[in-house]
Amino acid sequence: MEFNRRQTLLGLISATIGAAIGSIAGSAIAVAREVVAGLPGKVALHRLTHRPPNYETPIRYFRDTLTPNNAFFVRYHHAVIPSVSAPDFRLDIGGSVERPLILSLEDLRRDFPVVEVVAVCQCSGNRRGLFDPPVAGLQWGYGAMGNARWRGVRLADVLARAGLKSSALEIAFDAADAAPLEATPDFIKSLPISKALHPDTLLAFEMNGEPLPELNGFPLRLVVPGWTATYWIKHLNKIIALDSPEKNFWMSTAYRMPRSMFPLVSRFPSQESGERTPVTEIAVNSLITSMESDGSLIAGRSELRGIAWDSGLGIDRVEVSFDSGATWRRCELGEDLGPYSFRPWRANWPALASGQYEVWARAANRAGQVQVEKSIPNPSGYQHNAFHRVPVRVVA
Amino acid sequence: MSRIFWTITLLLVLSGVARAEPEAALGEGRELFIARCSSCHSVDYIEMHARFGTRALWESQVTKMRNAYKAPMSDEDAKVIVDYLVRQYGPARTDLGQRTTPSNSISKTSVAPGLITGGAPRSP
Repeated sequence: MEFNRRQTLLGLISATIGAAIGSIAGSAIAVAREVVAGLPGKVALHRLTHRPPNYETPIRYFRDTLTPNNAFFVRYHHAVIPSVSAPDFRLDIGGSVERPLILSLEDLRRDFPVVEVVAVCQCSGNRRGLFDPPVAGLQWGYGAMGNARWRGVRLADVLARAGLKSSALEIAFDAADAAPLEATPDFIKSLPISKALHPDTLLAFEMNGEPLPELNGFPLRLVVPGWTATYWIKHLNKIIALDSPEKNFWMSTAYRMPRSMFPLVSRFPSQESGERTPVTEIAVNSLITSMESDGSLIAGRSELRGIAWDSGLGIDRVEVSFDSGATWRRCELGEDLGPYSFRPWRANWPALASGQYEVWARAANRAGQVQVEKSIPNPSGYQHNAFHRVPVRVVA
Repeated sequence: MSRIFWTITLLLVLSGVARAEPEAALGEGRELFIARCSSCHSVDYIEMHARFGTRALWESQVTKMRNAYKAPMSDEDAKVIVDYLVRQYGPARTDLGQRTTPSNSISKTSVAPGLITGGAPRSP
């Protein structure tokens, strides 16, 4: 499949028409904080910003264990977004390697084993808008994440073909997107060698059985299961093996948090400095997904179900409480698509007297990490994993 | 050079196809705000922070834009822009949803802007 500029413009025009129709039919959908709008190739998502585009997935799409491509969230740091033609695409692998490579998509598919992994891609700042006190940055709700079956080749295999030198300390990734101003730091991220060579770290060209959507990184993106989406470089076109730490703004200043606050299992030693450490793994988390259109649940009438996920250590249990955490009831876990996937869960309604309640949901993983009642405030608003709390009505 | 070209293309697409983006609130400093800030991002980045848009918040954000993102502005520009943001997007503006802006009437029916610039990626 090739995307060219004409198709892009056609997409825009259809999105324009679609949004116009949507605005007539669906004005009640808009919520106070966000505006529902259309993007090329996407259903209506909650818009945070137009340019660069940042759009989150409405919760109802998380009722599917795999998030549909056309509802998958969109997040860009810079406003100049490339439209890359697949036949013209080249991936450049260089730096501290014996044999620099330039590979086409066809080369990748033909020369390396093609593998799949189901993994959650979650923005480091997902739920930032829920922090109290507020924290500057994109004011995400619950939907800056998605779960997909990613298909591609192992980064480790490509680096082996290039002859990664033993002196390499990090692998850096650059992409075809850009900021409007030349002076703005290009969005480049790096990984420690251990994560780069992990067999689940992929260069992915497919998502849920289709080519990557344009706004999710067509034609190639990095997939880093267990780690937050900041590392999942979209429109990837350059891989550089480095003998010293990557020092650009996006590594040395952004996407960092106080080291002592979070019990990280998967660390990034060459980027740790003083009190700050890069955000790495996804915190254990859960979400209730079965709310009615008003955002609440009706006991006995609504389903009581949701999803849980973590950094790949594996979900051990999900529990719900109807008495502000005094007692917890264990939920039933559903299909297991692998350790990095959303894990669906469900529960039966307990007998409750008529009235208003709040249900709390929390997940724990196999390493003993549990969600917290109140998220840990940190300067950039990362790793929000407080219990999900939803109003419940019990009607006679 | 190619970046300038595609940036211009983007702006043309934005202006021609989609008059979707919210526009900056009316008030002193608006023109300078548009000139210095809007080439890189839409004004909804600002609106999103208005509920806690104290002077300290806006000063820190303008400083971040200058230091980290290299937004081109003088100290004097920055002061005018911070003043504008505090006045128009400060926590006192509880009427944000009703505020009269040139675009307020279309903001809820707006469409996707021309996001994709097409053509050549930056050379690796």
